[in-house]
Amino acid sequence: MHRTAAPGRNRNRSLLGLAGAAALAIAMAGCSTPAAEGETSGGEVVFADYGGPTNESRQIAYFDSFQDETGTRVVSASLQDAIMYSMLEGEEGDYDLIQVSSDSLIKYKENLAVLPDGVPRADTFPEEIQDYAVGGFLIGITQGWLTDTFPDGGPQDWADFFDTEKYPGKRAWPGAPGSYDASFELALLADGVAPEDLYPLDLDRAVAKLDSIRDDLVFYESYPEVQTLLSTGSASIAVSVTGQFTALMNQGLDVTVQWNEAFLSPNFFVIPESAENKEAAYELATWLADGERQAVFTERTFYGPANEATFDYLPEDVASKLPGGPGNDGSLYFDEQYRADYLEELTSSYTEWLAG
Amino acid sequence: MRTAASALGFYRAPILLVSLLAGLMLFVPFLVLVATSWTSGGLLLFPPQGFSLRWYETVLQDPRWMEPFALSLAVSAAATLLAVIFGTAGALAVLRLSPRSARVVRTLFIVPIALPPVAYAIGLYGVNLQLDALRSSFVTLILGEALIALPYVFVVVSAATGRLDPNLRKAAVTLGAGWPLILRRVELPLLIPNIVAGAVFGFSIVFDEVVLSVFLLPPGVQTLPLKMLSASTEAFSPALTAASTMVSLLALIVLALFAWLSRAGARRMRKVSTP
Amino acid sequence: MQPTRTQTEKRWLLWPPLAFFAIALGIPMAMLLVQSFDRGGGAFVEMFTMSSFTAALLRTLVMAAVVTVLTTLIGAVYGLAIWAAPRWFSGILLAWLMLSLWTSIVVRTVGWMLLEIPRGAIYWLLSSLGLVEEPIELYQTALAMYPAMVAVMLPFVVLPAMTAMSSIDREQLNAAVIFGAGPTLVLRSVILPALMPALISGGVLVFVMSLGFYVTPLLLGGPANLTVSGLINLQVNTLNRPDLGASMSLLLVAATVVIYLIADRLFKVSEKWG
Repeated sequence: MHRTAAPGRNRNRSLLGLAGAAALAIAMAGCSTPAAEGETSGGEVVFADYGGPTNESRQIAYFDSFQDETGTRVVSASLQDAIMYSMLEGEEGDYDLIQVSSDSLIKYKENLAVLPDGVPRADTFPEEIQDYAVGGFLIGITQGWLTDTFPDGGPQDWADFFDTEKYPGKRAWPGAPGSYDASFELALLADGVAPEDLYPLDLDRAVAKLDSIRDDLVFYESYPEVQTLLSTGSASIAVSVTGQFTALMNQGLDVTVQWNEAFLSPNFFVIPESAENKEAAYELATWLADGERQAVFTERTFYGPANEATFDYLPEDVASKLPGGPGNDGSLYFDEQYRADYLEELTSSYTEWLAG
Repeated sequence: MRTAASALGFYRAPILLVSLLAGLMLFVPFLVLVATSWTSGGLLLFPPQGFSLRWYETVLQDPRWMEPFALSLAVSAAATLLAVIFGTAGALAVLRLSPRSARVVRTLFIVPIALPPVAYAIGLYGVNLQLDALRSSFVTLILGEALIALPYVFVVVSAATGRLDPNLRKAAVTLGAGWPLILRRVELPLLIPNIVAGAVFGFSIVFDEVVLSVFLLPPGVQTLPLKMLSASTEAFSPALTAASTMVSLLALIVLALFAWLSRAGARRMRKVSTP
Repeated sequence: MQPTRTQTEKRWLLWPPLAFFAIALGIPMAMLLVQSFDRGGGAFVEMFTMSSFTAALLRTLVMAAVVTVLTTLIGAVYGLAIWAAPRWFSGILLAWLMLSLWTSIVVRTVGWMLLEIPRGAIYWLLSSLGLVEEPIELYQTALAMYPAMVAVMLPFVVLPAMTAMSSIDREQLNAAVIFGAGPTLVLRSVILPALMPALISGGVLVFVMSLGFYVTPLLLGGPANLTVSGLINLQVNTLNRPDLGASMSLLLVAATVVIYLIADRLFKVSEKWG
């Protein structure tokens, strides 16, 4: 829902001139691209992510040095799903690298570029995605709360999350249509299904369990609302991607993240076959796989690294706060194949439950 | 003012009261937003933590805010200009049509409002992909935004064309005036307040439009709404409300200045015509 | 001579906008149509078998109607107040209207969220006055979403209403008052007739615009308020079904045209516009 693009500095300079000629801009001459002239560097590569602080961290950890070193400019674009899908289906488009999660990779593998041999692979990720995944990071979906909310210790698992007597207060919950995240899985775990028996998901049972807590939910449409709901005390617990809890911690708030029964999901970038700057994209891919640079990114975002080597550069206290980090046992992985196969069913069931 | 007040009699008090309540509905959210922007912290929160103007400084000093602002002004101005030309022409043309075809044209002019932005953006993006020359330009964006602004100009101007006295035109024709002259000297001057109101509407809509920008801007360039969207990705930054507060206040000042100037102009005119 | 004169006028006034429509609306609409037949045209049938779509369609229409009625009534009063209030007061009303109109809708929605969440600004105010202790139960109810939507739409009724009011002949009004017309009579025979065209054209605008609400009702009213626009976004952005998104969009446009034509017949919108 929230997309962005970080600006390319050279390109924007002539925009001010364009603004001056606002009234004249109607003449089509005034509408030509501001990048038309004055470009001397060695090409560019278009990097489509969701912007925000994570994109800024990428700029600092990777892009600035990459640009200095190679002369290739990294243009950040705000990822638009419709453009992404048409490229994943093999059509042309503006992007060279696109952020996806495993289910999309599985679905559209045949239209994605296989990384050349020279590009280091993401060795903490499952084997079957390694030939495609670039610039990866591990995210978690789990519950978190301001530590003060539950002085005697907060919920230990999803069954506790559903126990509104023991842990009172509203729960912040994903409410955008189709944003089911881990909702079905965690409802089933709370209902007593063993982690190894989760798939195939029993959607009816999950929905029934979700119904039981609906009145205690406060829904968010975009992730940053989680920070507002928690920090004002409007919600006592939130289910969200872990980046939101990190953001609150970065603002100096004491947040507890429950890693037990958290769902971990590799997120990464893929290079579509139809991308225009594939060579530059491979070059960037190598740059992104470097442990030292990944450590810079990791310390800013607290997403889990894609390469084992990164842990060599991370202090103990950072590593222990990462998804999949040492000591954070009890985390689970999605069955990404199942989620790819049943994307439509999951989306429509969840949307229907939300609309219910 | 006296007449208006006394004409409404005992209805006046309740009308003012209801308008005050409705006004609060407009103003209170704005007030909350302003308050969040002067926080000294990094979270968009009410009540704000402390007071500082650091987020205003951030926005004003950061080319990543100011350049999108300039681009938005340029694109919106160009689109509004197109919309004013075509919308006003359309409103005047409808006057000259038979009732049946007038109805068809009028409906056509309303359609763009109903078009879901995503669908329209995808359609235009498809055009961009077909014609490579357009892809790195602002042509499709400006055309698209102009279409979005057009109905507002058309509707607001049409509300005034009904007040044009047909006899005025007949009289002018009898005196041998050609239609361009009538248009320029008789019809357009009478429509000016509505054209301006329509332009203000259209501009405000286009200035805030984000979906077309996402699809149609060349990668790496942003309009202000797009930048705002990115400032609310992953985290709501107080820079968002600081920027938005400045835009609102700027618009208010410009409009007030404009109203004041035109009133002063009108006064001067009156003085000249009645010595 | 008269007909040819009208012909030239028509050519110069009508054809340029029509040509613009052909390019800026016709081409993308054609692409939309092509897209909707992407998977053989089944999308048009499929969408009506989706219960979520028919429910959303109905919900959207009801919501737009409610918003239109509320906005038109409140907008008429607001426009009247600006006309009849002391200068300082109408200045404030106008400034509030402009500030709101010039705040990005995304940002305004965030403002409403900050107001209405269980421990938001409303709670803050009430609890500092000692009126409440528990978090308030307002967020994500119908009561929370309609004010926000009406506030978004209000300028589109108020500004035309103001223009209409300013066209009322002061002399005529004076005469009416001097000859003893009471407020009710003045309202009915002078003010309302002047206001009506503006209210109708503004109302039509508001209704059609309200069909496009998406994030505001979902966020402030709760996820049960999924509208057609929301569903279209879902098809395009999450499900990768642009064909369904395109056919839903075409249906929304068609529905608007039909509704508009009906309104035209019922309320004589055309006549009101001249």
